[in-house]
Amino acid sequence: MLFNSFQYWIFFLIVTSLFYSVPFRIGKFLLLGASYIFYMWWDPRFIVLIVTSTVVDYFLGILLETASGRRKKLLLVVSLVVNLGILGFFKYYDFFAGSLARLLHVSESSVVLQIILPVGVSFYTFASLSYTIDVYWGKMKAVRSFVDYALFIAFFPHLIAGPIIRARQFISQIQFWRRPTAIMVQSGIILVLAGLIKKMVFADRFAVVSDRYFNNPAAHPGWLAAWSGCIAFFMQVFFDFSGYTDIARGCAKLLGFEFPLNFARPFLARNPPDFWQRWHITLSTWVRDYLFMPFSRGRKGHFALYRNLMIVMILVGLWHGANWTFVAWGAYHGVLLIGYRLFDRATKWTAISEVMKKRYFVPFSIGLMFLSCTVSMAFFRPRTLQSSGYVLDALFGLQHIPGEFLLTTGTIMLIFISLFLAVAQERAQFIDRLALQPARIQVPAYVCAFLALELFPATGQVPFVYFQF
Amino acid sequence: MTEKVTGVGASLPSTVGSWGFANLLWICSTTAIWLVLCLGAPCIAENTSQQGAGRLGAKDAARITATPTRVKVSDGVASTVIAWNTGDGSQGFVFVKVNGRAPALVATAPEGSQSISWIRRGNYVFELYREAERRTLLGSVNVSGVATESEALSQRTGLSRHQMRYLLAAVLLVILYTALYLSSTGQVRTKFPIEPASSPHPLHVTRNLLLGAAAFICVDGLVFHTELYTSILAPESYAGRMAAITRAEKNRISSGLKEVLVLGDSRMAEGFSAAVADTLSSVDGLKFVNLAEPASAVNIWDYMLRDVDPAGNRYSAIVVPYGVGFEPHSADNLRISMAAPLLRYADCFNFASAFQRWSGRCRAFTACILRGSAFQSDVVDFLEDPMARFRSIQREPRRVQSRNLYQGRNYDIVGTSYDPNTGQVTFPPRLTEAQREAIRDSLTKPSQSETQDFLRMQREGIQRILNRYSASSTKIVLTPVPRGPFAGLPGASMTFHAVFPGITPHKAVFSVPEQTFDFLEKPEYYFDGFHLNAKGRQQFTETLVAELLQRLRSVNSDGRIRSHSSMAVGHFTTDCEVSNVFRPSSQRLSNGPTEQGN
Repeated sequence: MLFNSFQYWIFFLIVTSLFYSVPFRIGKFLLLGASYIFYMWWDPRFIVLIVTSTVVDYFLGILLETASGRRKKLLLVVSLVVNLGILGFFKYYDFFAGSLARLLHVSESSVVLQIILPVGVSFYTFASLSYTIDVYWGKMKAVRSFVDYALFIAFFPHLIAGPIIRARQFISQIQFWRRPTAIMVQSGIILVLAGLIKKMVFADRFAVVSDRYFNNPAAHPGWLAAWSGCIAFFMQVFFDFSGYTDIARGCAKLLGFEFPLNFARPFLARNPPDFWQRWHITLSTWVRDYLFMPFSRGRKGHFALYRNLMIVMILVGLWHGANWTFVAWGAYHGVLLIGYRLFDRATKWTAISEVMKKRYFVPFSIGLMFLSCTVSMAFFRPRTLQSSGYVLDALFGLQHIPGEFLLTTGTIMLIFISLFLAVAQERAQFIDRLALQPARIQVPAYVCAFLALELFPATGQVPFVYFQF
Repeated sequence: MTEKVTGVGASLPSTVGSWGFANLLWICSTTAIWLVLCLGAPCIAENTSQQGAGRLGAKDAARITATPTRVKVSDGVASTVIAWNTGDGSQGFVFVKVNGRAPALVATAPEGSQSISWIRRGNYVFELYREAERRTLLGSVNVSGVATESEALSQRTGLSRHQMRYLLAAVLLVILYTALYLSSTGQVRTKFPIEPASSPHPLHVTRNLLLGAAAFICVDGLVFHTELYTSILAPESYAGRMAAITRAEKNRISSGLKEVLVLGDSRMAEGFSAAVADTLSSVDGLKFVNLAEPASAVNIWDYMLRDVDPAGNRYSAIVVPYGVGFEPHSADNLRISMAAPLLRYADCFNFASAFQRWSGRCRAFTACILRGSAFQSDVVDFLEDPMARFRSIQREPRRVQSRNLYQGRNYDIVGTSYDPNTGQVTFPPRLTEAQREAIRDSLTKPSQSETQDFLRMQREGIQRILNRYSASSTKIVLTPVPRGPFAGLPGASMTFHAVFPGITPHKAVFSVPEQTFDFLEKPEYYFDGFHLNAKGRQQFTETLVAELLQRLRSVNSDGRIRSHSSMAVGHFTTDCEVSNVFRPSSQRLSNGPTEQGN
């Protein structure tokens, strides 16, 4: 049941109608039931995993609250083992077993189990872990209502591809739920429409170009083809995931819940740290709070900092998928972050640093960051490191031919439209403020949105990219 | 992480100001980009007939060729087709060296062909190797990109189109720079505001949404339900062709003769010649109009008739083909798009009911209400290159004219043999891949559900046409069409004939006997698996006109028709059984055709 399918909207309409026709104490049972149905729509077998993870962490949370000393640590370890065990087995077993088999020259088929990846496992595992760790750290109290906790884990708008929500943010919303205000409903509608446009008009159209290139890079040699393929894929990933997040946030708002922001115009990032403040914010803050900070606590020195940065970024890469290309992608971003910090240190108090802070230099910084991220797509999309190498060769002109420019007039138009919308949003919260505009602005905006959805969706229903993670 | 925006009312004027500026910038830039991009038409290399091939003496079986080898670069880039074969089925690696630089891998396969659409001016050497390490060279071919005369001239006189593009790209970069400059406030942001805290009136939310939806439906109606957009549909598209031929027929001045309209799909379009029919029937004062359109189906013909003959009395007779065929569910989108220029709001339920699957029904329903949804790819194509579209539309009258002059294809598939028992098809070497594919397709047996859907659609569609002309003096002539080059073979999959049962005499309906065109079901009359060639076209037209004249002459003055042998007159009822409608040809041959009439 994809967010861009007719099926989903029928489902959502039914759930919303039923939800508002009963008191909230019953309505949350209804939402939980609907969320499980939504999850089982993909594959009913995997409901066992999500229920197991929920039950274990629910009871561990209560035990953690009262426990102390070694027992408390032990309970946390149990939570980590169960959650990471599920994630590790279903997502990474085949990858590591296969890699080890290749290393030891053992037949790969004898160790690989061909496990199907349960959809959304990376997202709900991280949500669940954040709860037990927060209770362990004493940052929140254990949830006593099982339904509240189960709803936090399984709430259908965020279940499949995030945003990764924290128990601290969400549980209180369940406990003190109020009917959504008019601004929430208005913003929800705008977010849903914006998300659908991002997915169906932008992402799916870029997908045509990126698929054309990445399905067979050898058929399109040359730097022009490689850059157009990588730019198209970068745009596709952004619009796809950010579109999904917008729809998820919009649906949540329509049901009276708030989800955190996940993307904040990452194409306008000026440097790697800025990029990670804007791109997949819920993941980067999760990683910062639960991985980077605990690892860095008590460790001083630049080497430790850079090492930890690199480890964390590699883990972020691995979170995206069980493949060496994702490890390389994470490492590449690690190198960018470390490189930027080194450069920043080296140029501090120098004229270079002053120039870089000037407003006229900002477009160059943004351009450079955009190009650096585009290069990272050479790791993100190909299935093998060999293919990544081929794409990198092409990107840096080592094939000595310009090749074919794959971006169409339409996709170039979309790039510029998105850029100017991003600029307008960055300067004046263009889209957010739409909810407060009078009818003479809102009505034409709705007409444009409906026309875009009517006329410009790419052919066919393309699944969301982040579902595979 | 986030901060709430407060004091919205106070900041509104500045917001509106920056909004206006951003919008102005956006409109100017996107228009500029659009113009820039549209200025450069797609680069198409002029195809020359020469072909280059490279061989090495030691590897005689291996080959690599380029077509053409001398590519005229008219607009920056051009293309050629590289074909290769290692000869022994082993893996081959095609590399290219551009102007003597290091080689790059282009393709990997034992054999194949690939269009190389990035040829610029210069020398390209394509080499076929047995290994990725480029140890064993199997063959090579040189391709040279040369400037066309116009490009060479423009280079001498000033800026070429290619250089103009770079210049305009530079302008775009300046716009881009300005936009990014304006996006910045100087400091790197660490907080991102979310939606405002103040709230609109609850009723305004619903009102604005409903107003937006209503205005959207009105805009769609204004643009797509009028001639505004249908007049600029791509003339090469199915929808565009349908709109164009319907428009041309609607605007055609009456000949003053008794006009006979011929409907149908590609089989009638290829098989029937209005010019030949006019010559044959000149004594009787008939004028034939062939509106048969490839890929159209019976449910679309009804909408065509509504447009070209709104009063229901324009034609003396209308020829409606029936019989063998099936509608794959995958063709739903095509049918919707093709019918879209003819659809009206009131057709939504009727048109949607012609589709079997719910997804098809939903799309069909939407296409009637929001016609723009059926023109998605057409709108995108138009926006990608509007000038090309207008050029194409200007050529439209010539295209319609050439339709009347079309004489059919003068080649056949003689030498092709088919064994119904084994399903083996043997082709003569001269047949193209497209012909072979069409023949294979024609021999594929459709699924039971697809056949049933086709029958249902045919039954309902023809019934609607009959209802339209029930009070008219226009005769409806139902005719079978030749089924295919191998349909007559015993045991062939395509052994069904349509016979319409449950006869209720109808004053103005008659049918051509179902075996009339069996003699044409031979490879010599076909150019592929479905369509008659020029010879078949001549024969089919002659036979159909003869049958038609015979029947039209025998019609009594009160409009009732006289009984003829092998006449199957049908009143199509929705409850008639499929098994009664189509019978295997073996039964048909033994039982003979149903003879009905009054």
